[in-house]
Amino acid sequence: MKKYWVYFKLNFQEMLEYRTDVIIWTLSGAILPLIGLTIWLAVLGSGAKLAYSYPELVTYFILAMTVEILVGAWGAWFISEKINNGDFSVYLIKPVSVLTEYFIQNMSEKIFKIFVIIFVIIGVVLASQGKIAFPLNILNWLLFFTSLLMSILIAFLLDFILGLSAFWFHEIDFFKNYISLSNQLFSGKLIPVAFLPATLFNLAVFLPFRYIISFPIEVLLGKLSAENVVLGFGIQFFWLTFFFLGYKLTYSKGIKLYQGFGG
Amino acid sequence: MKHYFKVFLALLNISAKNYLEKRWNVFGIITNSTISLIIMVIFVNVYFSFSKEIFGWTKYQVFLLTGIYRCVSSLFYVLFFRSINWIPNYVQRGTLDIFLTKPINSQFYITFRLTRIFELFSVLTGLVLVYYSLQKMDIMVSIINWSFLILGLLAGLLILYGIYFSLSTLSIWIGRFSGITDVFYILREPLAIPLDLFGKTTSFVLTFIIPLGFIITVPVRLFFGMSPWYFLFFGVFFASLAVWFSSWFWNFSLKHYTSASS
Repeated sequence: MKKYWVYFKLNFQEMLEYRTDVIIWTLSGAILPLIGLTIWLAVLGSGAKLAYSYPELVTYFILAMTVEILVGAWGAWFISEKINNGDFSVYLIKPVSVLTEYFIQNMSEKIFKIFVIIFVIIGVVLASQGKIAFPLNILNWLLFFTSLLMSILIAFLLDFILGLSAFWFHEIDFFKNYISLSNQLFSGKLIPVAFLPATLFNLAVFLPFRYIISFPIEVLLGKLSAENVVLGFGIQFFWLTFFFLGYKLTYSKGIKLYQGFGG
Repeated sequence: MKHYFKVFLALLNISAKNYLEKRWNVFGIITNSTISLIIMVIFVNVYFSFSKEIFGWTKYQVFLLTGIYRCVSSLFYVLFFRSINWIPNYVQRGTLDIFLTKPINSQFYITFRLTRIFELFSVLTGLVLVYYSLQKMDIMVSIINWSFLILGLLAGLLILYGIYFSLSTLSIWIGRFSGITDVFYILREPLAIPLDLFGKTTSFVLTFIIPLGFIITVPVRLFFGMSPWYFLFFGVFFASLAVWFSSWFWNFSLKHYTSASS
């Protein structure tokens, strides 16, 4: 346990050197939900009938940017670089696995990001004159945190597998772009999944992206029927298992291909 | 002048060859910009499936704005983005020195060092969207409105350049600035929608205080005759200001530059 704590402390100190950058990274995570909020409030203001009221929209997008920050994973590029230039060899002799190390680093940075996002949230609450609608139901919050935990793990594993795919493909930028585009469409950070037309909605229910951002929020806001909550948790758990096994497989197969160029 | 043009062409050539070294790059650009075009079309369709008009904008007007946004942001990628992005890296590693000693204006050289000519394909996807929305609206646009649009967009591109170059120059003062790419992302994303959607106060601030509105929204408004004609001159004014400031700030910062490596 002590070694994890040491890693955590080291990462946190290193991250503090990048204060300006971490603030910018946090804001860039918040920008799409903020734009989503702007658009949907404008649509509502133009007299449209939506499944979400004004306070619900504000709450939804406040949660969307918070979840977006919490599920953020950005290790793929670094891992692929290390695989390509041979630095990955270092991980083979370290006392903690590469997955654990990146996870600890990821968590230590998010602690700082949460402080930054609080200021953005205060700004949004003030701009909307305090019209928000957080539910007080304890069960909803419990389900939210359970689902959020799975979201964090799914997003992290997906990003990690992407990084490991460099064992085969070397250049992973396109995959990353495809995933981030699908994420924009299906995760609900710009368009709440409930607003999608039927075909896209059905796709969103089965693809993993909704279970990274939108699903925990829908559960918390009580927007889903009991059956859909159960179904959603089932699908979310499926994707978590799927990506965990995917990680195991890519790591064990990939490491055999690894040649450690220049290392 | 001729000398500068020759250097520009040479830099363009080197960047293009470097880019082609990675076999999949061109394929990646084509697939990526096609997918993101489709997604943008879906987005606009979804917004307008709930309301015929949003704050005075109709569906095909927004389509046109989206197309223009793609053109401008892709053109920015073609010309400036990667070069400006690298400034913090030069500063952190001290490799800026070598550009300062070259017998050419250092801002010019750094601005055009890393172009991305193949991103022109994304500009094309934007033009397709513009063409499509004009067909759908079935309107006659006078040559004057066309020239308003094009001049306004040129000014807009320069405003974006001035702002982003100045922000990247900040790295000389703060030393470490890995977040610069995300700064661009924060600046760019709001441009994809009409800024009027942000409400009166915010859109005023985003137009006259931080002149982001003059990059895309105002030229498109001029095109549809939604803004008075003299807004074009505001745009040109802000463009001159932004470019002048970027050059002043660059030279001012260079005086305080302490090479990291030596």
